[in-house]
Amino acid sequence: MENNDPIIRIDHLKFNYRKHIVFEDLSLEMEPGRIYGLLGENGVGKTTLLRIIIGLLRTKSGKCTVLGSDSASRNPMMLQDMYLVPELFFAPPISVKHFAASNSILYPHWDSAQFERLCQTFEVSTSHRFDKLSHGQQKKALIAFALALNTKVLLMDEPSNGLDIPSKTTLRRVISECATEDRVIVISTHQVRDLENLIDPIIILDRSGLVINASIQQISSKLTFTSSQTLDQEAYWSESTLNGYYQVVPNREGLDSRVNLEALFNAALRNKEAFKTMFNGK
Amino acid sequence: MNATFNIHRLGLTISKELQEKYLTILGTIGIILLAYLFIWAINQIGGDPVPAYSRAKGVISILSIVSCLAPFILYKNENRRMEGVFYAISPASTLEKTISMFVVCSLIFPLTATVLTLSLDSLITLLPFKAPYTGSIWGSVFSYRDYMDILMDSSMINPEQQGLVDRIYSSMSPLMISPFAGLILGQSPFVLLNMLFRKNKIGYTLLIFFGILTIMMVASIVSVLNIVDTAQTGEIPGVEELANWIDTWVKAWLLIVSYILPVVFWILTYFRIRRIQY
Repeated sequence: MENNDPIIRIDHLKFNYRKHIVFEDLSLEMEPGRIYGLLGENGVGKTTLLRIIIGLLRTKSGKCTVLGSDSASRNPMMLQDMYLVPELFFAPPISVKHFAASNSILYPHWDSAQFERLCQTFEVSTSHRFDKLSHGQQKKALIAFALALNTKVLLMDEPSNGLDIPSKTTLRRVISECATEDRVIVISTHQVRDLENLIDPIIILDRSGLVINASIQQISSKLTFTSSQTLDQEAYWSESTLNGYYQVVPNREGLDSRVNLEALFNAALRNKEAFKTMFNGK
Repeated sequence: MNATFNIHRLGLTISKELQEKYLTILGTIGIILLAYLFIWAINQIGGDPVPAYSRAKGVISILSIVSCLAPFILYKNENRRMEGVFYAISPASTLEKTISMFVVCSLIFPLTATVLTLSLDSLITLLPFKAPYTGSIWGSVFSYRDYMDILMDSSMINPEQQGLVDRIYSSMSPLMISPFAGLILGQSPFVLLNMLFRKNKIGYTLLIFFGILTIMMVASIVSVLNIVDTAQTGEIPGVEELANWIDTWVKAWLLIVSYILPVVFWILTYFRIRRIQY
């Protein structure tokens, strides 16, 4: 496998929970060295997608391949190089240190010193019982554990949920420090502001599939995020502010602007078809 | 490295599960030992010596119940949507996870529980109390012959029946297993049902067993009615014929229950672990 070959390949994925169709025909690829942001409204299937990628759920048709293996096979060689931080999880009645020691045993790139360092950074005591920690502390302990496993694929479902403001800052710093060239990190989130400046590329899902799968650079080359006193008639999305309007408009002059994820998300949901054509060529 | 089975990975999986569960294992065994001490204390009130056969039956009954409950205690979370995620994504193959479950739940747990309970019993036999515990029960737990011997000694069998019992017993002998092996093999349906049901595991399991029991009772009643019908037509089988009939059926039953069904249940458990979605 070459360095920039996609680690995760999703090909014409179809998935449903009984009568509720989640994905009808989803295809996308994820390359190493990137931190993907998975955005979407409630119920569009962000968590489901992460669960399919790690093999917890099986596709109805289509294929999801991770590191060359069909994810549904739960191949141990594939699993030893990937990990999922779920949004809600069961904290066992053992110490954080004990949890890390027993759960890391099957992961070849586990670094216990790194885990201790990360726990110190997050201000989590490893000697405390996991189930007795607050939800935020439990989450930080699990994120520290997941990062110290040094797997090639790291999936995080709403990692900033339940964290206080300083911890969110620490989370951004720690994730960016742990992002390496051979690693793909996928973060599903509603809290786009928490992870702004960290996630790139951006994937926006809706009920019909993929709306955007593009890097920040691609997005800023096609869209301008700007404040102005007059409303642009071609604006994809706008919001009244004290000084006029904050809007997302086509980048007609090739200007650079800072991508505002919340504005992008709102614009994408209002102009799904236009964005699909613009970013995915559909 | 083989994706289906690797001995090193199996060792690590067993080690991981033991590290996670050793406190639960020791806690459960602690409760068994306390229960055994409680029974001993009650026996002291009566003051009569407690013979080996009644203790052996008691120990085997306690260990059987706890062995059946062991999967629900040790592996209660592994198939649950939220709690079972870390188990599902742990990098071991389905075969390794199944073998590890067998080793922890069906070998290490019953063996530790049995050895510690029998050690406690042996310790009590050494102590001079009002109601002494006499004789060793180690043999009765690990050897079917010893267990059957004490069972026969303690039961009321008249000399006419003895011949038939001896005949069936000697023909069944090659198929019989020790009470300890019985603990291990008898646990297999509970392992499967524990992995099958996500909620109310024990309740659903009891429901299934009551269902099976009802079907068997109906089948028995139908069989008895058939025998009565046959007897009324005057075709009463002789003792030898009856012995042959019992011999065949008991052997078939033993073969199915002791050897075939446990293997089937473990194979089904393997497929359950393989197919389960979270």
